[in-house]
Amino acid sequence: MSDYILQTHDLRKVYGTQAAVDGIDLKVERGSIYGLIGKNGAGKTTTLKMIGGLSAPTSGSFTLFGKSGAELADVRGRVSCLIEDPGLYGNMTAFENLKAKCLCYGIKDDDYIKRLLNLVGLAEVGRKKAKHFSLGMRQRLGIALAMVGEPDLLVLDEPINGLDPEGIVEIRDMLTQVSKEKGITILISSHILEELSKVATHYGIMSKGRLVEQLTAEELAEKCSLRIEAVVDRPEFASTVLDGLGITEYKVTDRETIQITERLEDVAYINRELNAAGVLVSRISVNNESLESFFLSRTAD
Amino acid sequence: MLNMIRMELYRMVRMKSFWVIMIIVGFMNVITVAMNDAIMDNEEIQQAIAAAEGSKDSPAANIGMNVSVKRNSDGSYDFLELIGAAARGMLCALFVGIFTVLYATADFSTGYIKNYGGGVKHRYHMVFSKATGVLAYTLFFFAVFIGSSCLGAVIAGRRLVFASAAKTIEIIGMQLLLHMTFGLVIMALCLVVRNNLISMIISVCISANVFLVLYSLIDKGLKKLGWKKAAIENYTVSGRILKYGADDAKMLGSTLVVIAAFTVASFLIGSVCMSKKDLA
Repeated sequence: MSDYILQTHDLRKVYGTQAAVDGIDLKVERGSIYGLIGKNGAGKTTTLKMIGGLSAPTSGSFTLFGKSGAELADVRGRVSCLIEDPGLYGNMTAFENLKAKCLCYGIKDDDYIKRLLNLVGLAEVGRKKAKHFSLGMRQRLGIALAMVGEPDLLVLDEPINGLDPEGIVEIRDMLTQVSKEKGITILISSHILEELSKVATHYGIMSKGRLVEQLTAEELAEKCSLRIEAVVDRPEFASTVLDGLGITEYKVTDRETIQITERLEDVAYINRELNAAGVLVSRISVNNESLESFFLSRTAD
Repeated sequence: MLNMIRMELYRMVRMKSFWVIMIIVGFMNVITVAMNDAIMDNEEIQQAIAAAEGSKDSPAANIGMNVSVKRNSDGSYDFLELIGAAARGMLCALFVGIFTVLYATADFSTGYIKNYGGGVKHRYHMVFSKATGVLAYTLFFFAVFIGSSCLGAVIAGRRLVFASAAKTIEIIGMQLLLHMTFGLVIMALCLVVRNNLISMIISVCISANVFLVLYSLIDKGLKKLGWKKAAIENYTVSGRILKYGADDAKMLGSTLVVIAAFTVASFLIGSVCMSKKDLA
């Protein structure tokens, strides 16, 4: 069986003449926390709605747990989602909102509901109606609702919206915990890469309905890490000089650029040694690309 | 699907409007039946009612809701008349319609459907489970309605008599079925429109017989086309509610056909809408 729990194939959703999602090919590995990132209106929510079974694609297809087409109905129950604002019955308590969904999933154990409330930090809300909840509390209850029935794929659309810093940390820890302990694959969207970077193992960057880049957390870290960048006339020869200096963490990225990711404090020494060896260094500096600038560069108009 | 029905019934009894409507109907019914004597004995009010109702020869006509319960000569109430008149007067249909709109649109308007809708294997299951809620509500509503009517009569010190048990069972039973069908039609309307304001307006207009104007216009057109006895109202659930049990005409068979046709149509239309339309 494929390691991908979810694969989309040229998935499109068109509203009128506007393509909200324009042919994306997403691949989500089993057990991963896949962060879907993009500006507002990039098509993240629409994509998640289609995957969550709330909206039908205009064209294209996707495979969930190895099933596609009509067979998708067999695995729909293994996917749970929190899309946009949490959908709650305002005149019901948190317990009752959860109870309703539990009944729908054939779960009759009230202790299960209490455990879920405890997990999202709502154990103490008692008889308070959901309509009186703060945005953060609503969000927590929405996440608890999405967790009902132990889904294999949890689809969360901007789940940290409205949460206070403490709440963000709690939800982040909880997501990491359920992903590790229960093996739940999580597909999570956000427009804040900084926040996603603390939980996600994989990323998909969306812009204008298209998936512009997919990368792992390691690849992202590499792209955004501190490094010495040297622009030289002969990178191959410069490599041998670096080898001679005992530097191994480097790579030639194009015909005139070398990136070195160790001994960052020795930039002046490296520059002198390259010059001494006859390598013409036209520019050398220590820099890095922040997550923010990385994201902006990928989603620029 | 049984689990979904459980969920629907659970959320239904936790809706505030469920209990508010039951309390209003129960209280209103007890009061109006108990006060019916005062109305029946007041000559001026009777004249006013007669004037408002109009007559066949009168240029004035009242097409709105109207419920008046007649007493027997010995002062007792006929159970069939007591319940049947209110049912035919569309009073029950009004409340069934109002609640159905609130109930059928609640998971769309709150967004709760996003929590479970995507995981449902077949979306028509949602229509069946909602329909079960509507049927259960209508049954409970009728129980409250009948109970409160009887209580009102007892408070007024009147005896309740059953002129004919078989006829009573038939007419009340058919009115219950018609009201259940009316609820299903409104539910299907809600699933098509997905807007509780528009659904509510249409539901109230049907209950208040405003649609009779539309039916008469259609009848006019059909008569011009050559169908001399055109009476669209006879083929509608609301038309049957208005007429069933009003006179001795044999309507059982044709009413069952109307019920079956509207029930099937409601399920089909509701299921198609649920399957084809996005849930969020």
